[in-house]
Amino acid sequence: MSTEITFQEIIFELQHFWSKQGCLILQPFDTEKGAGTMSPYTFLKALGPEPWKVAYLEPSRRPTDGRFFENPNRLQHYFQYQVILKPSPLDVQDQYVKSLAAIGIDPSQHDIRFVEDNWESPTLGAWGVGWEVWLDGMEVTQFTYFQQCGGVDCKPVSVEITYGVERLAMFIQNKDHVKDIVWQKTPSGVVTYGDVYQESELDHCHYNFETADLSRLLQLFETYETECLHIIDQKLVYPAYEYCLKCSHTFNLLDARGAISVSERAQYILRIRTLARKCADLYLSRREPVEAST
Amino acid sequence: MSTFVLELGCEEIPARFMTELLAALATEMQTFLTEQSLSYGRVSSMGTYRRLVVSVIDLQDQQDDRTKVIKGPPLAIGQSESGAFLPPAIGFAKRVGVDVSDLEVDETGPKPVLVAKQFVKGRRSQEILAQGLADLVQRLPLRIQMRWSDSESIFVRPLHWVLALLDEHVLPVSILGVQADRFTYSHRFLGPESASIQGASISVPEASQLPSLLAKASVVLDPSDREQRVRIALSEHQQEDINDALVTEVVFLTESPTPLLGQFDTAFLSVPEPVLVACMTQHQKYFPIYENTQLTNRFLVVADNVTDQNQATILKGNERVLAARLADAQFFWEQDLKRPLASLLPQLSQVIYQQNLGSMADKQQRLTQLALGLARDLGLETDPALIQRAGGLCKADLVSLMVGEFGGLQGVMGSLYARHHGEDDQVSEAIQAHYRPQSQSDQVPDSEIGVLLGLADRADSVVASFYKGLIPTGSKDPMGVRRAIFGILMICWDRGYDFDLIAFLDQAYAQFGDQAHHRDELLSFLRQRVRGSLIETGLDYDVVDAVLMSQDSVLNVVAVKRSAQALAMFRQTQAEAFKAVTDTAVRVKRLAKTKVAQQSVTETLFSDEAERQAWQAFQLYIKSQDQVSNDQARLEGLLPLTTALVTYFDDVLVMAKDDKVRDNRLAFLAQVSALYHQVADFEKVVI
Repeated sequence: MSTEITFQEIIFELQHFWSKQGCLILQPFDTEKGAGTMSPYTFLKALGPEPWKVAYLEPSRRPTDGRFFENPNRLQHYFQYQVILKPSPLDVQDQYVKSLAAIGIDPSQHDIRFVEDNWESPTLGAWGVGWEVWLDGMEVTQFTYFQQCGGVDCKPVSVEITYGVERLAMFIQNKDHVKDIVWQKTPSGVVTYGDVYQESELDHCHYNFETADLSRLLQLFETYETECLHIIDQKLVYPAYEYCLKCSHTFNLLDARGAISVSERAQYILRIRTLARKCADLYLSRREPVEAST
Repeated sequence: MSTFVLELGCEEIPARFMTELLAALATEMQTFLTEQSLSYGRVSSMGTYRRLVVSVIDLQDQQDDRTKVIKGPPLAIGQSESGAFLPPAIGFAKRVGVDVSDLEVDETGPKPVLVAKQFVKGRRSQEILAQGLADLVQRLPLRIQMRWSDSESIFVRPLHWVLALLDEHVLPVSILGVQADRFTYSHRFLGPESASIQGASISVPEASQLPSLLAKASVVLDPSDREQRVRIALSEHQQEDINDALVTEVVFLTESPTPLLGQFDTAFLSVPEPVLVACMTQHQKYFPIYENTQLTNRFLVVADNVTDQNQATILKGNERVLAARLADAQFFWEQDLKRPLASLLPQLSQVIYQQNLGSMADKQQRLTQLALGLARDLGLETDPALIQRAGGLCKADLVSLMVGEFGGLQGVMGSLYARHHGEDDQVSEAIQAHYRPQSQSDQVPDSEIGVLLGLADRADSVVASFYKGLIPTGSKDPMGVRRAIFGILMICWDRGYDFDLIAFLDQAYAQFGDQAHHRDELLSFLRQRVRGSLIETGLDYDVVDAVLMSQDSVLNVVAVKRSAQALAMFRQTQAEAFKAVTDTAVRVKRLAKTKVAQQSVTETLFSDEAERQAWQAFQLYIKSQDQVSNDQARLEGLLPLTTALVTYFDDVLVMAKDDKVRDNRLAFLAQVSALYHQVADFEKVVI
């Protein structure tokens, strides 16, 4: 790349591009979650009949993926750039490829392929079909047509585009390690991804793998679950869903500590899915009158 | 005669569905044309990840005109003896719209009936196709189907365009909400300049021109042409042992396949070959390059968007991705080597095999016990300590980092790790071997310990599945029970292991507890599989059934196969004797079904010479059985007995008036029947 675009510029360009495509540009949702899909901007909004077009950057946490910043592209905290278009437009692949051009990836100069990769989130009772996008053999984006969320059929169908921002930045900037990504060139010098995140990544890895207090986390899980159910009883979707997310993150932490055996795992996933499903049902029950009146 | 072509333009269709979809498209079209009585020269289907194309050459323009015969009332009630038409005939003629005097008599059936003949003008193929195409597309098999946007349509991927041309005419047809036209689209990136990655729109003047116009737009429509490109590249690099599945996959991941030769750092060659190959083939769809069966640091990537300008960039990108993958794999390999397999056992006991059925470590223990018992029962001289050792390690690699990343390397890694840590060769071989044969085309491995563990592992899995009530039905077989049973049969037949499979499965059941849940279902499922497998080897189903039914409480599959082959041979070489034996055995069996209290036979009650002769032949047969060494001889031994019985049935009235005489005869026949039954249940034989 002759004009190397920085990490923050990549995000700017994506925001700008999708804004021009008619998307709302939303801000990250403030509860820990494993992926952009789990934001209510996706999980809840993919349900129900209303059209919805948004794009947002989502910090995502996968405690088990932490590698103390040693692995070139595995992190316990990373970024997804998420686009949801509902109903899915027929030219979505074209829009996507143009967004790559916007961040400096000229499609005529690369081999861009859409290779089957279907997506399923057992904890959310959600699945979809789609592809991973290969850029000269590197997987840079996940493409999914949601078929179900919270066990409910999505009608109309949303399409989700999830960019791995770090992967793209490494590709564009020709870096072999995520920590070397240029976040920005400031007047006082180059700031890298490592400069910004190394310290917290290491702290979190120590916490996730070594320090997290198992009995307290187990207690938290129970507490969050109880609270979630309590809120569902009161028919308040959004706060209930936030507690569902807290359960999910707490479960991920327990998992990273190796505290959950495989059989228990299935049980925990089922408990979270039950919460997610109740939230989805509640959300949908509010939509029905809307549908009836139109 | 016309040429017809249909092109369905989609978003990227998964490569693994393409072969089946294209085959179905051609078959459905042939069926459709046949049903519609339209003749054609040839139907063929072609396609890429974006296109499903079916074409028909020399299609009849119009159905032949024909005469349709409609059956009316029987002649007897339709026409009086004087020849006057009666109301039923008049009504019928009116209903079908012919003059009553035009009714004819059809005398081909048991009773003559009145028929009306109607002239039916053949419909034009254009009209027939326009009406039938949408339904034809709906009949395509969709392994995974999807909905998109706010459409109610269901298909494999969103449908973008439909091209439907009969010679130069567009067919007025709408498929999944898309109106057919004469436009196709170029390669997404390589075609003429276009505003979107849909590609440049190309107007196709007539049906036959689609492939050539696409070729000009950088789309190689015919999969065999694309395959050719890949195979030529592979042969240019002197590759002989080609991964055909991978060829098919890349053929359907490309519209303009361009093989590029890349390389990686030779330092990675220190990682075991199966790992390098898995990195290249599974994750990246690259072909590893061998030199005289030795893996090199080169590979072939089949790219889809290559130009002179971007070739170097694309290759470099692919090399970088592979380097990162290999670095990961090397890391896993080195980390795994630090931990001997045995040290992974605590972790293995954390991996649940199935809920309530313990961990994978528990499964290992169960299968080791089963294998040890089997080795004893078969009288094998294999060292039990080695069986114990191999059994105790055979699943450990499931918790290695490498198998976590490449599930397909289970067993392979275990063997490598075991060898690295100095396990006995028989032990390390067995770890890999116990998963084999993996398919019908795979071979039963040489490793005796591996084979024993493999039998035990599969028996444990099969029983576990039924024990939990996960019984395979139709296409649903979540635990792979069919495959496991097939593996057991392949091994038994290959090795000639003579043992009772039911007793073996009972031992497997015993390890789960006192209750043998769903044992009856398991045994009948097993018999079905044995039956199916034997029929697949070319044996007649009735012979297989007859032999299988004779083994009701035990099931020695080696013996069953041997007996079935002998019986089939007997039928083939001595057809008359075979028929006599069958008829007699069936007659005996039916009579023996009459229940009598008497078990033993009293010779003094015999009143007929034929009865005594038959009894003698029976005694002789029993004695001769001690010396009989094979099924062939056993079958031939039945001949004198059968002859004696034929005379017996001619001369003796079994159902005698005297109760004692009758019961004695029935008791005798029951014994004879049991004897025939040891060979086969001849009632199953279809003469």
